Amino acid sequence: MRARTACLWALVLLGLALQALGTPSCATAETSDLSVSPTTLDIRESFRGAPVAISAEIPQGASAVLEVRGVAHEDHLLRQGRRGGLWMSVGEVTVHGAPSVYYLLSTLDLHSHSDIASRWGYNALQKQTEFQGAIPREGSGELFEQLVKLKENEGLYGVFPKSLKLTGTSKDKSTLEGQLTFPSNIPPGNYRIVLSVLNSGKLLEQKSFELTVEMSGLPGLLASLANEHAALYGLIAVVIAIVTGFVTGFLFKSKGAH
Amino acid sequence: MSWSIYLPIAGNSVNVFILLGLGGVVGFLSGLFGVGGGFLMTPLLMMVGIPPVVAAASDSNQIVAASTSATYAHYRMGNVDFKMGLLLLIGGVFGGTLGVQLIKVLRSLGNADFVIKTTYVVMLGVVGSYMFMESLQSLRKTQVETDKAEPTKPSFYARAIRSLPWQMSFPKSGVTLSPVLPLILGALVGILAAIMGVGGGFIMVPIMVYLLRMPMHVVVGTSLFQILFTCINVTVMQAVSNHTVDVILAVLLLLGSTVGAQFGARLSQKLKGDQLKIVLASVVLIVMIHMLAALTISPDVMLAYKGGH
Repeated sequence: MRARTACLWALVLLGLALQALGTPSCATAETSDLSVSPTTLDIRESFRGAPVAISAEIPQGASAVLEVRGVAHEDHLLRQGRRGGLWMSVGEVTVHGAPSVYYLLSTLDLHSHSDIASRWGYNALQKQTEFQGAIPREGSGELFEQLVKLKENEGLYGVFPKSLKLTGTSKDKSTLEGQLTFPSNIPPGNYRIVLSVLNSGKLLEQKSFELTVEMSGLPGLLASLANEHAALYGLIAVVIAIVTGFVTGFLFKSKGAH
Repeated sequence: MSWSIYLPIAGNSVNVFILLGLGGVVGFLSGLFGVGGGFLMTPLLMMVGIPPVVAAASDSNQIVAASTSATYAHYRMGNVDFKMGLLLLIGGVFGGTLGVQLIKVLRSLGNADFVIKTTYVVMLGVVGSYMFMESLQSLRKTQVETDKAEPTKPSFYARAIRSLPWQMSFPKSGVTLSPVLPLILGALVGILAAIMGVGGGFIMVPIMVYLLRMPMHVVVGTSLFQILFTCINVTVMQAVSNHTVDVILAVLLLLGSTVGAQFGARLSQKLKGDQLKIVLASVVLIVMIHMLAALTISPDVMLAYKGGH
């Protein structure tokens, strides 16, 4: 146990030393003819978000919708309301079925294609999301709108119509290209990317790919230490704080502060 | 070159200089007034994209460093009453434990937030206004007037504390009182701090000044000594129970705050007690106005994540 902890800390220091050498994964993967690059996002010390390029071959004249979804977890949120003229939390709301991350990219303007907007995007997401707890009198519709607003503010939800571009044609195929920037607060995990190809509103085919976002280097080591050796991690945090406090105090004293 | 760093527990990337700067400002206030600064740091961290629970827990960790640095500085200046600090700390631990149970009852009764927030605003308003007025009056008094002033009869409160058993001398603070009083007052602050989710420096400092009759400079050092132990406990508990302490975030904040705390402690030594009190009262009133504004202006989003101060 002690040896394992010592190894972990040795790796933490090594991680710091290797910080500058951190390089993102730049492999490209193709599932059928859906191409995603990079296939894995490495969260290292200098991670500030990363772009992911997507391309595919689709039939000429077809349109496309691309969804990126994170795993749905149970979320516990506080609903804000007015009591005695003051705004405050008026109850807890538990959210089920809402993905941690949701992005939608399309070739079309969704406002002028209501049939698509009803099957993809926030309308479809609302049908899969359930709320429990302090539901307002008006129902959960308002709560869903607020959930989307909260997630959009964090950069974890987004709908981007016409962000997929048809760049070229060959024989009876068109090349579809798009780029999505994953924000720096993207949670580690697996993200399912699904490309739906449509023609005149009809679903022709679906292609999917699983993108992995993982922590590595120093962030990965610290996260595992915090979760697997929580008490030791807490004590080390306190010792670092006390030592730094004393060292700074001593440095100021030695400089003739007092 | 990018100066952003990824914070593994917060799960976000933040500019290094923003964190150093925030630490510096809050550490300065900590060294100057003897408050932890959690009331200020947590909302500021949330503004730069740190989740509330991680902001509150990591802030406790950086307060450990800032209060170590500032307590050490005040100790060198002879401003820490360890005897009084220990009694307040013992009371605070009992009060904190009781407060945690009380908050559960409040939550089960509903509208707990309303009670907590309005109590906080009213208390900050009353304490801040009283301190401001009292300090202003003291500053206006001339030395001549002070000399001319006739000795007044001891107040009811002064007679009451003298009648308490086991009177004890606290030479550093220059007071003689029963240990029961700091124990009870420490427990009260512990209860309030647990209910309101803040460290309690803002409540403890006025209590030391007005109810324990301690000199302002000793109050600052002694309050910091007490905050140090409270935050050590909170940091370990948060790390074990919720895994929300971000060491990288805390280290960057504490690098700024320990330096800021030294400058704050030095300035506190240069200012007169009444000057310190009036500046602290102004900060308390600004915090109160900020909280009142947050309570009256409709929020942008009607849902919020759980946690934070």
